[in-house]
Amino acid sequence: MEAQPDRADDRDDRTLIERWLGGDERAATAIVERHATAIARFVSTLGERETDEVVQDTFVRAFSSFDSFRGESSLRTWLFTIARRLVLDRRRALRRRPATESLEDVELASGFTALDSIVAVEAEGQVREAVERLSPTQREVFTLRVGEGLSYKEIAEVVGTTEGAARVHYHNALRTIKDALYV
Amino acid sequence: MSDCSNVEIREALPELLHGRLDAIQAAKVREHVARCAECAAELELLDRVQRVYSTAPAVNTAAIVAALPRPRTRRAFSLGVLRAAAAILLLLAGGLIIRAAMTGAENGKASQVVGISQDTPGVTLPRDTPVTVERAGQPRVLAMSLSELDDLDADEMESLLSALERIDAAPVAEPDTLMGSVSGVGT
Repeated sequence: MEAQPDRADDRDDRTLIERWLGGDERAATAIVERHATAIARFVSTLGERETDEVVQDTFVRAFSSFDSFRGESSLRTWLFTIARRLVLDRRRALRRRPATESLEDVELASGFTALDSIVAVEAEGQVREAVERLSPTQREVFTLRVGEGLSYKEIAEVVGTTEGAARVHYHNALRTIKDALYV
Repeated sequence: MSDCSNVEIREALPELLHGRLDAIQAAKVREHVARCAECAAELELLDRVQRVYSTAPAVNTAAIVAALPRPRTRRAFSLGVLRAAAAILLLLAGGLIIRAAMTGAENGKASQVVGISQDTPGVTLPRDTPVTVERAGQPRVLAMSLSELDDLDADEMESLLSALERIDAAPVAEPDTLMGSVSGVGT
């Protein structure tokens, strides 16, 4: 069963990009408003604490490269890919830095830290805990699939893997979460 | 919690959650979920996860927009089109200048605006004819032959077009503002 791609959204994005490339700076605001929240949500699930900074860097990098954006993937998928790369770069930089905090701590600090300020009902707390048990790749794939509604093809583009591997990660993640919640 | 054996339906649950199925597919999945306890439980679980993920850290869009680079405006025309336009405008300007110059000469006024070096005046200029355009009391605007157009880059071409447009905009029947003579013609 094939999901229907959001072609209208993609067309709107391409129109906004064209407008911005043509000198319309207001189009930039529209693009940021359409995607910033989703990018922030994704970045926080990757365990990144400086969500604001990564989201901003993501857009700066994207807008600097719109000339080369061919629209083969959706803008949102492309933004996710950039954000993910930035998070990985920051982790690598963190590894090289004399550690005031161990890498283990960084890995353990789930992206849901960013959501701590939100009043959590118990059920939500359980879901978070279950998701935190996933491996980093499983968490990425699962949140992109369930949280953002991306297809396996789109997830494969973001994570840099195959559709088949993304599918396996998703089902393994789902099994882990079911076991955690329904034992 | 066990899994339903209908993989196709299970694969479609996240799509259903995000409204990415068409009406027929969505109806088919809902119909299955209505009579399948495993899929109903899985859909409920996915919905719970999705609700958790629907909250995100606050984002300051104004700050993000302020940090963005400025758009680099694209050129409306290719270099080839600009070259062709420049060539046409040069020829037109040549005709205009010659006409104005001859009018000025007939009126006995001084040559201070324009000079086109060519042995014979005419609208059609040979490709390598040097064309020189000057405004009264101002530095020279143009001095080139048509064949030199090929050597211009896009910025230079746009600059040339802009200069020619200014000349072209001057009314023909106004010898006081655009007058002179053709150097090398009748001298």
